[in-house]
Amino acid sequence: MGTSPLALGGEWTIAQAAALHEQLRDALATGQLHWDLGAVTECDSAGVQLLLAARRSAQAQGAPLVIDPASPAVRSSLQRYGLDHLLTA
Amino acid sequence: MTALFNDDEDAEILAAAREGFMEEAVELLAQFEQALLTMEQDPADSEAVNSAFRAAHTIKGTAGIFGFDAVVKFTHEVESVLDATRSGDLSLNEAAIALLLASRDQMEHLLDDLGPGEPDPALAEHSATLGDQLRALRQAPGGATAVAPATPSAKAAADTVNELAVWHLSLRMGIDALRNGLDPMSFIRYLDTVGEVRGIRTVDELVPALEGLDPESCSLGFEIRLATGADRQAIEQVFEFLRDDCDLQILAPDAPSEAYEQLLTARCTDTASRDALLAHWQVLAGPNEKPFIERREEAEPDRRNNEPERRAGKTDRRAAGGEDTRFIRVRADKLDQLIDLIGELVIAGSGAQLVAQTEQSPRFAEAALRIHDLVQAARDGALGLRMVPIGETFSRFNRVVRDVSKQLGKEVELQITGGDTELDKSMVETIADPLMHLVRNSLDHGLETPEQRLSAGKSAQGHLALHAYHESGAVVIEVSDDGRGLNRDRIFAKAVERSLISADAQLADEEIYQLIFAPGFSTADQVTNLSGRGVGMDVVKRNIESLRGQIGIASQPGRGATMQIRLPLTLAIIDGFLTNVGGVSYVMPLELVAECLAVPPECVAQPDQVTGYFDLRGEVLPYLDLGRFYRHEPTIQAGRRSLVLVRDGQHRVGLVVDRLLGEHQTVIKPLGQVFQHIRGLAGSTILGSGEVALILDIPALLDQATRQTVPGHHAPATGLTR
Repeated sequence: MGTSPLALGGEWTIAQAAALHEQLRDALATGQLHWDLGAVTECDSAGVQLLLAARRSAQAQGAPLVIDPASPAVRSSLQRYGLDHLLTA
Repeated sequence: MTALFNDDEDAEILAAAREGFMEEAVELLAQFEQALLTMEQDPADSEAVNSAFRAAHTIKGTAGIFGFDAVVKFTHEVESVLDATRSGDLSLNEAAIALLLASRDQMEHLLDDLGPGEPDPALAEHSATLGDQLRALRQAPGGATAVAPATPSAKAAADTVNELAVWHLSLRMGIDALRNGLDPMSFIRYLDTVGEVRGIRTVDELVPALEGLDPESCSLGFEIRLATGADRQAIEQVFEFLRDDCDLQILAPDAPSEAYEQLLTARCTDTASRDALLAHWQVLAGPNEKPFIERREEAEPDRRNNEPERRAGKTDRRAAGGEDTRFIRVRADKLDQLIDLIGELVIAGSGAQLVAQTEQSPRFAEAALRIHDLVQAARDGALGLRMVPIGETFSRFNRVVRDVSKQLGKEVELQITGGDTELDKSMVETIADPLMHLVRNSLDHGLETPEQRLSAGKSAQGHLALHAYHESGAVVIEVSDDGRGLNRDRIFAKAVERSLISADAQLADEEIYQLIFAPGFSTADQVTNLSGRGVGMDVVKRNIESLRGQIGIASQPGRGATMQIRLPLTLAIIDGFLTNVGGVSYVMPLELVAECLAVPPECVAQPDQVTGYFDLRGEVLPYLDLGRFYRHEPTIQAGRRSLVLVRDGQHRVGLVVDRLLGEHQTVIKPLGQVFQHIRGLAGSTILGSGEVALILDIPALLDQATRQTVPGHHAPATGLTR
């Protein structure tokens, strides 16, 4: 558990937010805190917000959330919001 | 029972709202199309990109309210492409514009498909295909990095006008923003077109942990430093759509620390969030810039200076919001009722004036005159409510010309002038179809292919012009091209072949051209899918005549043709000129009356002649004796008779009447069935005395007067056909 990163690809958008939310909650519940977002095709504000919420949950568990690798879509959205530090954390 | 009633009422309200949406959507699609065509010509036109984006965005938003998911889903893809374009992430080439135009049509089809019944599966499939293409466009490797030319130039323009200054933007998103389809990221991206984002901090203090998160709500906030030469209004404009879904505070570059202090108080309820926001600001200010908040003592005197700035910002906002309320939607039948009522008022006013005249009371007459003037003003105002500029109708031809000329392999430039010419809304609707036919006719038959044009010594690109203007109480609309012109001989031969005329008929060019409006006439040797099916031109003429209008043709072989439509300004009320013939009152439109003369001797020389010619200051003009034309008893023709010279465009004709009664405001009532076949009558009206007067159809009479004097033409001697 936790050795290989959890791949969470596809669209990180408002349209998928509800389904993604479920998935992320499951990941946190099982302690999967290393996420592979290399295959994310799109990431809007809803996606960013999910990442921020996930980071908060992870902090509550006392463990850092690791996002590696991140697709250009994720990278550019986080940069846009001045949240690049989420990637290196 | 009550529940059922409420349901009915709700359904009714919903249906009405839906209808409103559909109407709005039609306008928005037109706006969208117009913007795309502008972008096709000038990809750097950022206003056009914005306009297209706004149209798509509004359609999506409103469709969302009604739960039209198919429309929302598809329009979202369109909007995304435009969003990327306006933020400079994507530049659109010709193929991309074509794709967007196809998407516009798809949006229209989706909207049309919204009625009851199952949605069309083929349509959904097409949505998916186009949607994929739109997404591919957005994610294309070249497109994603290419910078739209609009962005740097617009920014450069702003920079040169004003010095760069750093503004502070504090943004808190409304909880429903994402749900409403408003992604703050696209607006922040769009800030790039106004200035340079020097620093941004995402305020996530309100974002809960995953367990407490509603993933579709928005709890984000942003603190942004923007370096720009633009003014407050330009910055606010960026967030125009977000207005209802966010709280935006903008602090000017010279805002004192007091302003930041106030912002801090407004944004934060407890010390923890206060500290967090201060920390964000610390980061944004950086080590070199001085902190936003200084010591209180220094800031105090600036308080008043800051007030006007804030207030100015607020009024801007309201002014921008006011734009939405500058127009109100009014049901057409309410407007018609008002115009009917004013029509009755006009009649009653004339009645009062008549009484004033017979009573011979100068004070009453004066009062009646004053009322008359006011009624006239009210009439003009009420009719003005129905007037709309023809430009909207014209502009839809941009697309038609583009599509059809591509299809035909022709190069055509459309020129539109006089788009602000106003005419009655009902006429605008009726005239759109005939115009479409004339435009297509020009494209198909009039204008040649580039090769043909070049070999004829003309420029490869053909020109098609739509032109509108007001002339002597009429609206004139012209469709002209510089194509091959009408083929006089071919039309003549065809008309003989169709036994519309005899082979030895002597006709003027204009009369021959008019033959193309005869039912079943078509000269196109090949039937294309556009026109040339032999239906249409007669329908065009019928449509125009149903509006009391006429159509004329001017053509020069090899040089082009002009179709000229003349329409009356309004269908309801006219300023009339009242005359009496044989004891019956006749009204002619005042605008068409050129002058009144004593009857010239030529007109009385032959007592039985209905029409003929007379000499007006050396000019030979036709005349028509109305008394003889309508077979009134000649015995009543006592006293001095008069000739009224009326004109219609280029033509003039003298009408001989018994008495001139002067100006009269005329409410046009349709003629009853029984009288509709009488020639030269456009309608009836009721005089103040309660008597009925007949309204003369001047163009038809003019036609009669000239036609009856052409030798060899079989025209009946009388206006009555029975």
